[in-house]
Amino acid sequence: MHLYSLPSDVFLVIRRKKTTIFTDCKDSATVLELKKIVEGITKIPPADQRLYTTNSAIMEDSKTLQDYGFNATTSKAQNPTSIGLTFKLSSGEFEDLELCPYSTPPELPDVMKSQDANGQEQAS
Amino acid sequence: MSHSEPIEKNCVGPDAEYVKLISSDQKEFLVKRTHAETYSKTIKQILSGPTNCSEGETNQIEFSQISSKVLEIICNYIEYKAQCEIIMEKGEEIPEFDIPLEEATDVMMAASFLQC
Repeated sequence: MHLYSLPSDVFLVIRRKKTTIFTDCKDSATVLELKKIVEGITKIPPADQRLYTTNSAIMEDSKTLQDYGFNATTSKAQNPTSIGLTFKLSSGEFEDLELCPYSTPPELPDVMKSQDANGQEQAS
Repeated sequence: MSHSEPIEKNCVGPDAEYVKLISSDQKEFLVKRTHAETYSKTIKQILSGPTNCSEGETNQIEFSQISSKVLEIICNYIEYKAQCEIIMEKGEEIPEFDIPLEEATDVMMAASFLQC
């Protein structure tokens, strides 16, 4: 079972506030196609979505991901490119691009720390 | 290690292709369901086990012990494994997967819990 046959897949992480969507598509795909993927998940129509590149530039529907510099070399699976996402509010304005940063993990309790040491020994 | 699995609102239908993993700080991560089930036995069991059909319907799993940073790395790894399979089929070299040292132990704990 494989879903990809072309080598030119780009791996993306679409971020909006507290949500992160891991997805991928071809670098020849348009921004509109990406919005349709987001629509499938969020049920927000492409017209009410706005995608931003890492430089906070708004992406146009007609352009392809290649046009924005996303290709298989820059967007690997283990290091995907981030794309920002905002929705149109009921007032007609788009929300501000707001990406909640990830939290740092809490301090491990002592019990878990000793478990860690065992785990590492077994791994090596 | 026990994990909580609260019932959330339904997100079936178009969502069915993706599964939502929720970190301890309520951040949501969506990955393709087929990838998550293939590369994490625990997720597969949660989604398909007879006693947990609520998760199977809602496509959401909450991990109250895993922070968002660690869950992000896990999701990256799942996608990376999916890509590696294709690369191996073509016989090319597999790229490395780097994990920052600060998160390494937490990632290992989460990985052993998720069996991936």
